[in-house]
Amino acid sequence: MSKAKKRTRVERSPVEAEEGIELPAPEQEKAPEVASAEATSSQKSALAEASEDASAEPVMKDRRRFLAAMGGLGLAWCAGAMYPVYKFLAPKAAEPLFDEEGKAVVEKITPADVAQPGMGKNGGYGSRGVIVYRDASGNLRAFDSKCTHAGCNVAFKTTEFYCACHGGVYDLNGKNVSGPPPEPLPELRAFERDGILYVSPMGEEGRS
Amino acid sequence: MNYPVWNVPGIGAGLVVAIIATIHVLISHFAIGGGAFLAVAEFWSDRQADGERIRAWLHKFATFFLVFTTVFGAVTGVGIWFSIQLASPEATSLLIHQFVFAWATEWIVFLAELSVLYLYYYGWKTNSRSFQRFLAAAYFVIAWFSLFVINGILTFMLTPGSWTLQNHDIAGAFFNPGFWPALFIRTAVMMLIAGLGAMLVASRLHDDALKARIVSFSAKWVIPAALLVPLFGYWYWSTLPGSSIDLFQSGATGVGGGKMASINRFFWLSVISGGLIMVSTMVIALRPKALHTSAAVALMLLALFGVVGAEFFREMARKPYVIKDTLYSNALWVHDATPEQLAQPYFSASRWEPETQPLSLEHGEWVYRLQCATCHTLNGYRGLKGYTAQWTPVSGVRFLETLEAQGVMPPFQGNVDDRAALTSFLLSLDPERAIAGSDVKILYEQAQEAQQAPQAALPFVGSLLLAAERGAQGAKEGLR
Amino acid sequence: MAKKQAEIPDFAPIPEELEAHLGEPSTVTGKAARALLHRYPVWPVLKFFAHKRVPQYRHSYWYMMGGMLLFFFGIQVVTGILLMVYYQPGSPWASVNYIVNEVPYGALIRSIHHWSANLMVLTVFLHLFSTFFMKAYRRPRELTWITGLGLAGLTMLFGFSGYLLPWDELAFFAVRIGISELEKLPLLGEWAAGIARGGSDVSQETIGRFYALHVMVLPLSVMGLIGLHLLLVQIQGVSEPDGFRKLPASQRKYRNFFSDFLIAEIPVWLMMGALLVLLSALMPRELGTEADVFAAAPDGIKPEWYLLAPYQGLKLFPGSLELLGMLVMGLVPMALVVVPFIDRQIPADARGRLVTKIGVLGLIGFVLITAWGFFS
Repeated sequence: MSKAKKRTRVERSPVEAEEGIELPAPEQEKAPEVASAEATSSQKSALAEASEDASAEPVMKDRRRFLAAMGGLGLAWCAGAMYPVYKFLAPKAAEPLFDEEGKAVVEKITPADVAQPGMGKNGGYGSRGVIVYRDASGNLRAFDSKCTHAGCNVAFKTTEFYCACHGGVYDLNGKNVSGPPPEPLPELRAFERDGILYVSPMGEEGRS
Repeated sequence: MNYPVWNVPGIGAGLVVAIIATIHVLISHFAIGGGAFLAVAEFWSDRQADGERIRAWLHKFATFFLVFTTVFGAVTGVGIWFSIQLASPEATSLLIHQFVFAWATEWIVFLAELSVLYLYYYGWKTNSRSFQRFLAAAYFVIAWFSLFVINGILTFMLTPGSWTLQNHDIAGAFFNPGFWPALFIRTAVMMLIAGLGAMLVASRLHDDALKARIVSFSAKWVIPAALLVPLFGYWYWSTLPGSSIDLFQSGATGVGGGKMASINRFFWLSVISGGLIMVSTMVIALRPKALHTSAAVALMLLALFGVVGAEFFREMARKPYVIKDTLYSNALWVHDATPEQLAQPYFSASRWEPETQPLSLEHGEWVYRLQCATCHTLNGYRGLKGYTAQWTPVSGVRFLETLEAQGVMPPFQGNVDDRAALTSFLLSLDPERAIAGSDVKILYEQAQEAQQAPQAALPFVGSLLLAAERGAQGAKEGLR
Repeated sequence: MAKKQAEIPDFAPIPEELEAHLGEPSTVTGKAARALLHRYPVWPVLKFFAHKRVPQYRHSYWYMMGGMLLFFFGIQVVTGILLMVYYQPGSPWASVNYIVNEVPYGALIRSIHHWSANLMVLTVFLHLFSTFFMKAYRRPRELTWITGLGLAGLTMLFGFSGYLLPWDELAFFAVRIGISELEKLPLLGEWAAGIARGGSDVSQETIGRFYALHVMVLPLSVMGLIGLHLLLVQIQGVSEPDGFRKLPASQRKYRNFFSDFLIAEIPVWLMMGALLVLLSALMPRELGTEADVFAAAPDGIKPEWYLLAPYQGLKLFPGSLELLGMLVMGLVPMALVVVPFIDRQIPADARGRLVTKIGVLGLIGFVLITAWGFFS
C-alpha cells in the first residue's frame, strides 16, 4: 500500500523525487497533488477545504484546539468516573485503638508475666504490638513495640529492647540508643484491673 | 560415629561424601561407556568412506576421555575413600574386611584398565588398525569388569541377601538380590553418558556436516539407553526391601519438607532428569548441526542431576542403616542396640570419652557430634535447628526416647542425662529458647510423674508451664 | 492447479521458494499445507521471524539469558496456577500449610515455584548486566532497553508481592518493612503505602491486594511487556558488540535464531527445569510459623538475597539520613534508564568506556554489599 502511494507521488511531483525527501504527514495532506484515490473520505474533505482558500489554516488550528479541549474534558470525565474504583481500593479508616474510657486490653500478657521487677513480655493491643515490663522500682511500664525505623516489632530483652530486622536498640525507657531508629518508642500507661492488663495513651503529665 | 573430629558446618559429612561420589559416578560411568563408544566408533569409522576424518575427531574424543576420566575419575575415587572413612569408619572397615578379595581384584583391574588405555591412546599413530580395535574393545571389557566388582559391594549395602555378620557368606553378599538389576541399569546409564560425552566433544566441530553425522551417531547411544533404564529400574524396584518401599510411600513423619519425603523427591529428580535427557536428545537429533556446546554441557548436567537423584535414592532407601540390618548410619551396631546397652550412660559406651560436666552444653554438643553429625548439621543441610523448631524441653526428650519410631532414625544411645543434655544443646541453638540441661531434666521428670498420676495432672499443668517459663527466663539471663 | 486456485478471489498465491518446503502436492499433508497457506498467507510473518540471527563468538551463550527468563516465567505461570488451586487468601497460612503438608507433591510444587522465582531474579540480573556490558542499549535500541528495565522492575514486584502470600512471620515483617520504606517517601509516600496496605498496617486486608497483583495484574503486565520487548528485538535483530563489528565480514559468523539457536537453547532450558527439581529436593522451601501481628520480629530475620544490597545499604544511613540513602539507591535505576541517552557512540568512545568502568564498579559494589549483608 504505502509503496504504491510513494510511487504515485514520485510520478506527480518531480521535485520531491529529485531531493528524495519524504515529507511529514501533515504537509502531505496540504499538498493537493498528493491526494490519491486511496485517501479516506475524512481526509478528502479536509483536503478539499484546504484547497479552497488560504484562510482554512486557522480554522484547522482552531479545530485542533477544540478537539484537544474536548479530549481533556473527556479524560477528566473518565478520571471522575474512576472515583468509585479509587474508593474501592482506598485503605479503610483505622479502627480506634482505645475504647471510650481511653484504655485497651493487653493481649497475650498476663499479670503473672510481669509479676516481679525485671520481668516483661511482648504482647499486643488493638492491632498493634506492645511491650509491658515491671521496672526495678516495681512500676509497670509499656511501650508500643513498632520500631520507629522500619516498623518491625522490637523484642523485650530484659536489659533493652532489640529490633531483629536492622539491629536497632532502645533502652528500657524506650529511647533509641543504637542502630537506625530515628525516634524513641512511644510510651503507654499500663495498669492492672481485675487481673487484666490495660494500656492507655500517655498523658502529658505522665511523661517522666 | 567414632571420629567426632570431622565437623563440616553447613554441609555435613554425609553431603561431602555425596558430592564427591556423584561426580565420581558420572565420570566412572563415562569411563566405561566411553570405552564401548571408542570400540564401536573404531569399527564404524572403518566402514565410512571418510574414515580418516572421523578418526581425527575420534582422537579428540580420546584425548578428552583420557584426561577427564583418569584425572577427575582418579581424584574423586580417592576422595570417596578419604571422605567415607572419616564420615563412617565402622562401615568402611566392614566393607574392607568382608570384601578383601573383591578390592584386590578391583585394584588389579583398575591398573590393567589404565595400562590398556595408555597403550591405545599413545599408540594412535603406530599401532595397526586391528590392534587399535582390539585395545579399545579390551579396555571396555576390563573397565566393565571393574563395574561388575564394585556393583556387588554397593548393592550389598542395601540388600545383603543371605549374608550376616556371623555366617560371612561372601558369595551371597556379592551376588545379592539387587546385584543384577543394578548392573543392567548402570550398563544402560554408561552407554547414555558415553553418547552425551561424545556429543560434548562433537559440539566443538566447525564442520557442520561432520558434526551432524557424529551427533546423530551419538544420539543413537542415548535414546535406546534412556528407554531401557526405566525398564531395568522396575526390576530393581522389585528387589527393594519392604522398608524402603514403605519409606518411599509414606515419607518420614515429623521431619521437615512436608508430605514429600526426601527419598521421594530424589526419585522424581532422577525420573524427570532422565525424561528431559531423552526429550533434549530427540530435539537435537532433529537438527544435529544445531548442537551448541552450551546445549551439550546442559545435557551432561542433566545426566549429573539424574545420577544425583538415583544415587541419593539408593542411599536413602537404606535408612536408618548404612549396612542394612547390621550397622546403623551413625555407626551403632544392631547387635549392640539392646535395651540394656542403649540405656548405659553414652560416654561409657562410646569409644570416645570427652571430659565435660554432666548436663552442660558441652555434654550436649558432644552427644550431637558423636551421634547426629554423620548425617545432620546444626543450621545447614538437614539442619537440626529447623527440625527442632517445634520442640519443647519435654517433647524433645520424649522424641529422643523413641527416636527409632521415626523409621529413618537409629535408636538414641544414652540415658536421661544424655537426652536432656542434647535437648538443651539443640534448643539453645535458638537463644530465645535456650534452657539449661539440668532444667530440661527437671521438667522432664516432673512431666513423667504427672503422667504416672493422671488425677493430679490437671492442677499440676499450670505450675509446670510457669516453671518452664521461669526456667527459660533463667537460662536466658544466664547466657547474657 | 495453482492457476485454478488463483482464480478464486482472496486466494493468495504461494511463493516459489516456499513451494519446495511443502512436500508433494498429492500427499495429504502437502494438500493441507497448501490449502491453509492459500487462505492464510502467513509467509510475511514467517519471513519476519526468519531474519533474526545471533552473532556467533566465544561469549554468545549470553544471548540465551532472555530465552531462559521466558522459560522460568513459564514455570512460574504453571506452578503458580497449580498453587492457586489450593491457596485461599482468606486463610493464607493454613492453606499454604495444607499445600505443604497434606497435598501430595504440594511441597515440591511450592519449592519449584520458590526456586524458579529465585533463579528468575538471578537471570534478570545476568541478562541486565550482559546487555549493559555488551553495550546493546545504545542507539537504536533505547526503547528495548527501557522495556527490559521495566520487566526487571516487574519481576522484583512479583517477588515482593508473592513473598507476603504465605503469611508467615518472615512474610509479614518483610512486607511491613518494604511498605514502611515506601511510606517515608515525600509527597505521595503515605498515600501509596495506604493503598498498598489497605489500612494503617499490614493485615489480612493487604493479602487480597497483593494476591490480585501477584496472580492477575503483574502476569498480564509482564506478558504484554514481554511481547513488546520481543517484538522490538525481532524488528531490530540482535545487537552486535563492538569487538564483533570490527571483525572482517568473512570472520563474522552468525546462526539463525529459528531454529538453530532455539534448538540449542532447549536442552539448556530443560536442564534448568531439572535444576529446579534438584534444588527443591535438597532445599525445600520451609513454611515459617504463622504471622503474629503482636510478636517481636524473630532473630536473624533477613530479606531474600536479591534485596540484601538495599537492606544492607540502608543500614549505612541511620536515622534522619535514611531519605538520603533512599535517594542514593533510587539513583541506580534512574541511571540505568538514562544510560542509552548518555552513551551513544558506536564504537565506544571515551565516554562509553567510562560508563563501562562505572558499571564494573557498580557490579563489584553490588556483589560486595550483598555479601556483607549475607554474612553480617
